[in-house]
Amino acid sequence: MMEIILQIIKETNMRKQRQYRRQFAIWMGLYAVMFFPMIMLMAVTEVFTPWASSLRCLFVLLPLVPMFLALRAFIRSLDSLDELQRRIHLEAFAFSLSCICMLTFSYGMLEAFVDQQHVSLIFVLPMAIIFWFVGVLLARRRYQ
Amino acid sequence: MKNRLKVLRAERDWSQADLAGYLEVSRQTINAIERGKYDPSLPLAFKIAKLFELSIEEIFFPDEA
Repeated sequence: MMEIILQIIKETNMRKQRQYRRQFAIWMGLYAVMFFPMIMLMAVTEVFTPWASSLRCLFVLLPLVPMFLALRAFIRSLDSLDELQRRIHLEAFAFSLSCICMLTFSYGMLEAFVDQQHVSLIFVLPMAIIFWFVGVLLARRRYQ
Repeated sequence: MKNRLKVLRAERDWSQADLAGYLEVSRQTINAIERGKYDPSLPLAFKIAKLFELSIEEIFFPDEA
C-alpha cells in the first residue's frame, strides 16, 4: 500500500515539474522568436514621426510579454519545491541581489564621478541570472 | 541538532529516495537532515515522527545530548 502511495506522489510531483518546465521553455522560446526579429526590425527602420516612435516602443517592449509569462511559470514552480530547496533558492537570490547591488552601485559611482563608459541596463538581468546560478551551486554545496 | 533518521531508515530497509517519497521532499533534503547539515521545520519533524510512530524527541536531540 505504501509503495503505491509513494509511486502516486512521485508521479504527481514529476508531472508538475514537467508541466512547469514545458511552460517555461515555451515562453522563453517565444521570447527568443520575438526578440531577434525585433532587433533586426529596429536596426533597419528609422523614426520620422511621433506615432512611428510609439509603434517602435511597442515593438521593443512586446518580447517582454512572453518573458513575463516565463518568469511567472518559474515563480509557480517554486511552489512544488520542498523546504530545503526553497531555502537554497532564497540564499541564491540573496547572493544574486547582493552581487548585483554591489556591482551596479560601484559602477554607477564610477560612472558619475570618474567618467566611466556608460553600460546599458540590459546587462543587469543576464548578470542576475548568472549570479543566481552561482548562488544555487554554492548553497547546494553547503547542504551536501 | 542530531538525529536518528539514518538508523530508523535502515531498520525499515528504506532508501533515502523511499523516505523522501513518503515525506514528499527531495532525496537531497533527507541526505542533508541525516548528515546534520539541515534542521527540518517543525511540520516536517512532526511528519517524520508520525511516519516512524515515535515522538520528535525520540528522533531529534540537541548537539550536547
